[in-house]
Amino acid sequence: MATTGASDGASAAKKEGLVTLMSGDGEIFEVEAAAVAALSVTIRHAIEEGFGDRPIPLPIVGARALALAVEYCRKHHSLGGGAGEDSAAYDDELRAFDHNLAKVDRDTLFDLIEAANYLEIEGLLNLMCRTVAEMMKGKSVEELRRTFDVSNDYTPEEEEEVRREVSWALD
Amino acid sequence: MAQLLKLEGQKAQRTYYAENYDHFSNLSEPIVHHIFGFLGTKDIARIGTLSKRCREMFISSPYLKFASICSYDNPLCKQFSDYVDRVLSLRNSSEIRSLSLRWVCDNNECDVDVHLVDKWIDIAVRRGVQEIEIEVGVREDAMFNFPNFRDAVFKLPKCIFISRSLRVLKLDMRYNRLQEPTGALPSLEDLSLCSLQVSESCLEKWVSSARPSLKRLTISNVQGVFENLNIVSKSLEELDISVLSCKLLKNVDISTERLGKLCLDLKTLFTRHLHSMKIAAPNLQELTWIAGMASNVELSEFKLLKNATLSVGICNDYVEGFTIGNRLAKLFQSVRFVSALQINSEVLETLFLRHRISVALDSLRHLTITVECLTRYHFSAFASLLAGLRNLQTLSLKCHRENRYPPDHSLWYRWKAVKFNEQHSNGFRNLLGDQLSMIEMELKGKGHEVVFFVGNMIKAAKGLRKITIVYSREYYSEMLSKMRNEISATALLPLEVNLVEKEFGGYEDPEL
Repeated sequence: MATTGASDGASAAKKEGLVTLMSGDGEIFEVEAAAVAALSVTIRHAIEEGFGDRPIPLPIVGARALALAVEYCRKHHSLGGGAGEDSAAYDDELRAFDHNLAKVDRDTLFDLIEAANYLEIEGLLNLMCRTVAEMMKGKSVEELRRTFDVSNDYTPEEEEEVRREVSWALD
Repeated sequence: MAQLLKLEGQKAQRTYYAENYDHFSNLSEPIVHHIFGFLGTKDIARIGTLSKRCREMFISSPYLKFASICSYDNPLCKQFSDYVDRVLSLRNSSEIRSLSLRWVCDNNECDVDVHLVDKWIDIAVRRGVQEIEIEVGVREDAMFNFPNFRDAVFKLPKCIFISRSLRVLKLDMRYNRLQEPTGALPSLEDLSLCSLQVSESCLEKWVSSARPSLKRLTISNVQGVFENLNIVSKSLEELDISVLSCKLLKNVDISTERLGKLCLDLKTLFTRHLHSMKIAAPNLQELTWIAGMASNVELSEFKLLKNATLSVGICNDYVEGFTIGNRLAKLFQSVRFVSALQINSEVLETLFLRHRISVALDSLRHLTITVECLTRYHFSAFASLLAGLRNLQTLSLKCHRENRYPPDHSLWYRWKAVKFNEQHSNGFRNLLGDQLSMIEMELKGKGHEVVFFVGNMIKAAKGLRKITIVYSREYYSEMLSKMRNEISATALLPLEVNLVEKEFGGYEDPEL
């Protein structure tokens, strides 16, 4: 299922410069330590504390979200942060990558928010939160409830009062 | 890490959701508040009405943002103030990180209740607010509708001066008068004063009220009747002064030991009236100078300078043109350690016309020149300047033509250019060192003498390896084939040429 960096088991011999991550649903990922440590504060701390050969457990991060987060780290580590001569071209490539990443389905979108928050990958968290915000912009109350499956738990009287309060924002 | 270890081994986390799973309501509050940060007042207010949980998250947000523009057609002041007042009074003691309030009333029928603003700021200060951004103002002609219109003018409440957590204060007063501070702001790091009327002493008091900690200061769109602008600070790291309407301003005096970044945009001022400009900033790394030259310019040596933009308004025909050379020489003396420099065509022309200015910019690696329309005369000025820049690696030319009429070079300038060409009648071959390896050109509009420029540049710069030309669509046919011929005729060494089409924003005259 995971497309990047997933290997068959934790038993694979520890390779130089690699770190092993275990998703909440038990999948094992072997990834370049430098890339993930540069972007994820949580993993950097875990590596510093020395997990040795054991995989770093990431209990609330699902395999699919982890695969995407790792891909994000790789891409941004290899292209971002460099003030090299081709930084403008890299910027375009990163923008295109981020743009595509933000097109994931809604379940994955929210999984990625939780993952980015847990792994403390600031850029990814911002990207995904902005994506959700963009989906919310300019929508009416009914459209918002429909889009995000928020069920209305107000009584009609309560709702009437709450809506009166923000009447100026409802047109 | 303990938390990680404890959870190790737990498996089978949720990966599949029920079809109508409410992800949003199940996010943690800090994440929801983060999302609110990307949204406007109305969107956040609507989200607050979705469910009880949404309302909770909305009321507890530490980032508060309220904005309303009230007009004659759409009077909102009452509804808006009731709403803000209710949201703020519902809050418990949880922390407020930032308060952003934009309340503009352009309607004579209602008015911005400045006492309510005081109350709201007071609530935020009591909950440890760190950032306050306020744009509140009453239209000047509307003020006269109030029985006692002075009461309607917004004054910053006293409670701000008891805060020990306030780091950022941004004030936009809609051209109302700024009152003097009534206390100190000991924790303030970032102060922005925009669109307001202010006196000399009031401005100085604001700067000194935040004395121990102030790092960033922005002063823009300021109107005032004063002669001196003095900024003295030991802690200031960034200073941005732009769009001043102070007709009487004579002296600008900036003395800031730790300043790293300075932007001085005085293009709205009639700088011929400026008597003196003194800048003492020994640690400056970034300078933007968009201003004329006062008669007395005193600048410290900027030994750490990395980037500089010098956009000086000079009238080279004017009698004053003779003295401006000396003033410009002082400016260049101060910035001579810079590694990336941007200048406008007026500076380029003055440097060319007054060869007494010796420009020894030995650290300069990247030079950007902006011109309106690239002409044949420009090449002489470029070549003359570049011949003295021994370590220049990249040259970037921004030719953004907005005007359909050809540029009006003075007779003197044209004569000098022709003379320069005569001196190099054997062509420009190897006139420049071999350091210059890359040229980037941005051509907006038509009619730039780009083929002439590129052809001569290839001859003059023997180290040239790469040329990038960014052009607008309508320029394509005029330039491209000639350019190819010119390059293949003149280039001796392999040369990488990139042609990039770009849509330039803004107005482009179709008849150009």
